[in-house]
Amino acid sequence: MTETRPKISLKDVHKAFGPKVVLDGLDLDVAEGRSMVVIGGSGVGKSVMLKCILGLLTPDSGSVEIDGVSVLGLLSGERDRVNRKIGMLFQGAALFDSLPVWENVAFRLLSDGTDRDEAREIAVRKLAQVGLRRNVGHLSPADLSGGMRKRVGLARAIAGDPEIIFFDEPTTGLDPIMSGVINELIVSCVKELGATALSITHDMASAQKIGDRIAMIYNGRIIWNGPADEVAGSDNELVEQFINGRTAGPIQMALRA
Amino acid sequence: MNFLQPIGRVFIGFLGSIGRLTVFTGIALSHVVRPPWYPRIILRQMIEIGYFSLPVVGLTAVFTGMVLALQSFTGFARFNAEGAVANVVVLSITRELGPVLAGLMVSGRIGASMAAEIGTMRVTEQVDALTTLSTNPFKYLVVPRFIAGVTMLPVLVLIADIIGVMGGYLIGVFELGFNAANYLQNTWDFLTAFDVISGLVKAAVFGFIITLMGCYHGYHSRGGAQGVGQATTNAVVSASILILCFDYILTAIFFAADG
Repeated sequence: MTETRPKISLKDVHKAFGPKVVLDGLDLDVAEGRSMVVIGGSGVGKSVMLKCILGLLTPDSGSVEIDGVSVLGLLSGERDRVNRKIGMLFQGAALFDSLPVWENVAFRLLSDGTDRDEAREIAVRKLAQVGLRRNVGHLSPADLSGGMRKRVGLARAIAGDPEIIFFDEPTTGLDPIMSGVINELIVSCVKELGATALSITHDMASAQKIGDRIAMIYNGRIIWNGPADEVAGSDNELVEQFINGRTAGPIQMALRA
Repeated sequence: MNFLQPIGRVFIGFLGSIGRLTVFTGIALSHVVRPPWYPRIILRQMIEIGYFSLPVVGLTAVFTGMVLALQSFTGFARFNAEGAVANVVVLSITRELGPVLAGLMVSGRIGASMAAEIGTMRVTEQVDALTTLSTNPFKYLVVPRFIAGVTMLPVLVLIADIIGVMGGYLIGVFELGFNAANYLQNTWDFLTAFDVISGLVKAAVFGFIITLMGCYHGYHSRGGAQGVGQATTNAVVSASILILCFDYILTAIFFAADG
């Protein structure tokens, strides 16, 4: 059996903000067509890792590759080409307030010059895929509930049929039932597209639902990486403390006065 | 020597801000001349800056023209030069007060709104979302505002010039008893194309300053609602001060050219 090239690969990535080291030699591979979930406490570098892959931050050192090609130091046109493979669901959905919902969903299509009527129909189909009716497309993002915003964000993420989808805390701020709905939508959308998914979350129920594999980040490094169904039985005391939500253990939360 | 430390820190911070602003301006201007452009957004910004600023700029202009007529009449009456009222009104409005007052009013209305909108987009990750959607935030957010500001401010000022002169005319004719035809003749006789054009050039520069400050402070806002509020304040204050500074610089240049 031959070893397949990872779709996303991070090697020895370092990133610091002034004296604060956030990523300290992070290594992570995500295989094509698989769903990887990175878990970890608040402020351990999950979002920074994601932003380094997306090109929103530049690592101090290390490599970030997509499809075996380094995505660091790309010119804006090259970066745009890479981003066309990518869909992203932001934590707060990051919908554009100045545009109606359907234009948010069809944003990339409209930017690429797709006819507005055609783009609107595609947006309506994508909204239906995440369980939203056609009339939602004419609403403003300000008129939507948190769960609906997440669904619209998901519809926007999948609108360009991306090869890779990133999910940043997809269930944060949602009630348990809506979290379940979003998790199921993520699983179905990723499977339908055959996409590679990388999610970051600290919601263990969500992680186990949407991930094939789970990795845990702590002190800027991946300290555990394995199949999602094995995380509960992990004998790593950091993982064990985190998934059980215990305050006592090796993970000490920084308390601010 | 410890008292020098805070002074040095402020000075270095100031130099850093100048550097960041210069880089921001350079990047934005480089995108102005490179496609793609977004005509729908440029048009929307033109309407926002030009059309929706008309009431506030028009009201400012009409009252300024009226006050100018009254004040200049009071002054000139002391040495029997009341006939110069029409000339003073039209020259003051076109060369100075039209562009400066319109600039300051638009700075308060548009500069603040740009900083708040882009700042909110920044802190709610909408700017990051643009990047992930293969859309350059400079092209989408900054360039349309630059183009709209630089083109619409001169249009607004031209309208303000007309309304301001009309304000002076109303007071001159109906309050101070000038002959209507003579007032208009005096206005027209002393007005040169240079007076109007110099005011419009000032307006274009002020439009650039207002949009630059609004976009720059909004783009670099941090820290949620408080950061956005701070960005809004900084945008209006810095644009207003720069408008007054550049008004002097441009006036000195025009003064030399005219002389």
